[in-house]
Amino acid sequence: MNDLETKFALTVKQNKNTIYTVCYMFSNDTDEVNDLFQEALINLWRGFEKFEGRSDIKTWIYRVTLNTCISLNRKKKLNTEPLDMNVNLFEDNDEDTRQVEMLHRRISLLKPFDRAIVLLWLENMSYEEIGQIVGISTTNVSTRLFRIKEQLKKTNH
Amino acid sequence: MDYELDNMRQQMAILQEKLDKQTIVTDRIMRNAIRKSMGSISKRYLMVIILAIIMIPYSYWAFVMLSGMSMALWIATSLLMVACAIFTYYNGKSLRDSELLEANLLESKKRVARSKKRDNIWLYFSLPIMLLWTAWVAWELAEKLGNTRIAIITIAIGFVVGLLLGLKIHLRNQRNYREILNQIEDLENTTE
Repeated sequence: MNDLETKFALTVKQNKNTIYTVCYMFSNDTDEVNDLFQEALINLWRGFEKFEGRSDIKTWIYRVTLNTCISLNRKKKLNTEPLDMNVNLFEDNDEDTRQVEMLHRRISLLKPFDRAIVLLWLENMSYEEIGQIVGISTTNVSTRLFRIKEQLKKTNH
Repeated sequence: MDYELDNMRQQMAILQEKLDKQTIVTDRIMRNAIRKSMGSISKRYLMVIILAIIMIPYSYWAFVMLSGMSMALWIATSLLMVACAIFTYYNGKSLRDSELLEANLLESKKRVARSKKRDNIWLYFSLPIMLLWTAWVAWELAEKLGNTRIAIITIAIGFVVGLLLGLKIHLRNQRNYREILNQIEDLENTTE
């Protein structure tokens, strides 16, 4: 690996949870998570050289990964090679996995953009940061989150 | 009030904890991503452009050399192919741009929507031109064959098959385009 590839590998390893979480929330099974994850990595690599640090690296990773997931979710056109990742959140049966599945079910009920907003909120991002990633105002994020909360309340009862 | 979201935050923490314990990124996955990105950029657009370019010498061989049709028809066909290649390059450029993925979600979707819209405009321009081109080919073929009926039937079948395939792709694109617009509208309509 050259310097850029090593730097990229390190960045991905440091942010693997972020990338995986977004892919998981936009998928319905392990194969789809793997496909999305791989596609997100390809897109991240594609833009890595040009990334000039104008924004925080985590914000950039979120943007690229969310854009990848929303686009592929819309097209439903995944054709990457299957990969054996050492993680399966759809088939384990312990209590923690059940909790994670519950989170997945709740988030899956939302529209893609709402899914993105709630994911960023769950990552403790500020309304301003969420607004910058999604492309809406801070007030809009707040209103949107209020509606999401209402929707989640309705679906839970 | 915020019970659901607080509960989800706890579940998110569990997810992060689980993921911390897992090996998600292996060298194989990384190598695969780096290798793939080199060859997968805009294959579809590249294919259309290559096909359009190939059609120029091919149509010379098929129309002028093989069928003895006029040079004017070949020139018109070549101009159409060049226009198609330029449009495909231009329309695909905004989607090919790696900055698209780094833009905020709304801007990114707007750019995709603009690209789809141009696709729609292209259809309205290209359809009558293709109709004229087909009529021209049919007319020249009828002259060469000395049989108008056979020429018209042959060209009409080709035109209908091409039209149906083209419309199918176009309608699917347009459906996607509408979906994106609905999502944008939905976001923009959120009360300030």
